[in-house]
Amino acid sequence: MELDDLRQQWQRPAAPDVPLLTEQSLRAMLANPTESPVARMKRNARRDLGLGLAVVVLNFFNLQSWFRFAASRASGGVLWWSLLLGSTGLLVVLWNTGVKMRILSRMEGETSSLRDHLLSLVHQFRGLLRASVRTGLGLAALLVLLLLYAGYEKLVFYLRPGAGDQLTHWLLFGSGVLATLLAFGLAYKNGNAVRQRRYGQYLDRLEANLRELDEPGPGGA
Amino acid sequence: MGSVATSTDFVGALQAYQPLLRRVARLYCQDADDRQDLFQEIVLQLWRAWPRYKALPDAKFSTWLYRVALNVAIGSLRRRARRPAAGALDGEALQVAQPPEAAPFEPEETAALYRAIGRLSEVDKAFVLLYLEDRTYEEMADILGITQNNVRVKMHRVQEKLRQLLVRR
Repeated sequence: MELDDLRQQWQRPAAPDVPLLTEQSLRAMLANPTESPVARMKRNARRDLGLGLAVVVLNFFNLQSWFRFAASRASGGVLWWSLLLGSTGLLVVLWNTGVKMRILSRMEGETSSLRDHLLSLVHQFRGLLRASVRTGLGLAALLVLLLLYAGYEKLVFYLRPGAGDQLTHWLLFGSGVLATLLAFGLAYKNGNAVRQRRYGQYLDRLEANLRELDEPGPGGA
Repeated sequence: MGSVATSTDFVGALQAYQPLLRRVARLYCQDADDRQDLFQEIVLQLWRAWPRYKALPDAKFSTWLYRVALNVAIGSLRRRARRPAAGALDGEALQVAQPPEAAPFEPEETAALYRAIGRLSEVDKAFVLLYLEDRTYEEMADILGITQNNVRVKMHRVQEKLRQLLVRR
């Protein structure tokens, strides 16, 4: 038996007990849509934004202390520096969420051919991954700047020539730098695992489907 | 007001094509709940895209429908269906597609073919679907976004794959 033999049977009407779509059932569907992976990713993006804002709100008093500490320092403009860095961090998170939401919204409502749709999805997913990596790197850079800003004077004082056992001081400093690099490395690795779980598996699948569709026939057909 | 008129238009236009959407869902989902979810997702996607379809004066409704349905079935990144338990697809597919009195083939042969189709990739299933739906190579090329020549070559390969799967059973 081959596909040709199946055609007639295939196009027979579906089972009679299958309910037909009505305006009422359409309204019910719109009110309770099924959750597709893209809808789930949108929900995750909104949750990330909520978490980011919650962290800001919960750390309000910490921020106040930080500003007081910054304002009490002798050098001018420190308050504005810390304010600038904090705001930049928040903007990076907001920008990332905005990019995610925009990309995820574009994934819905596509009516182009299957190949164009897959191509567009692959492009959008790569954009999501890029945005995620850039956000991580941006936040890491901000964290380093903040750490340097907070500890710079103490560090210079600790490492100044003639202050105690120089070798021990530099060894401790080197260990600190190594530990920081290790922590960043682990965070990057963990970030990659999260990205792979959130987007990578879908990207792999889309790329495989696209490759299969693009696979040339004999003679490059 | 406009929305009510639009939903009436939409439901009216879709009325005759609902079996088609059910067939797409049947091909891509083994489980009845998954099928219903996919059907619902396709309808919602069609609803979202409806205003843009209405703005296209020359668009063929069935082509537009197949495009959206396949884009959702393949591109919506739903969890891959678990391998069906023996006969899971075939039982219902047979019940839906082949009343016993009209069966020109042994049910086991049809069941084996459905099983083989169930083992194909998502993309290959799209070729099978459009072939079973009697679409021309031109329309298939338009829906899938590849050349007619490529459709012909790939269709030939899919049929060969099915033959091999049927021989191996």
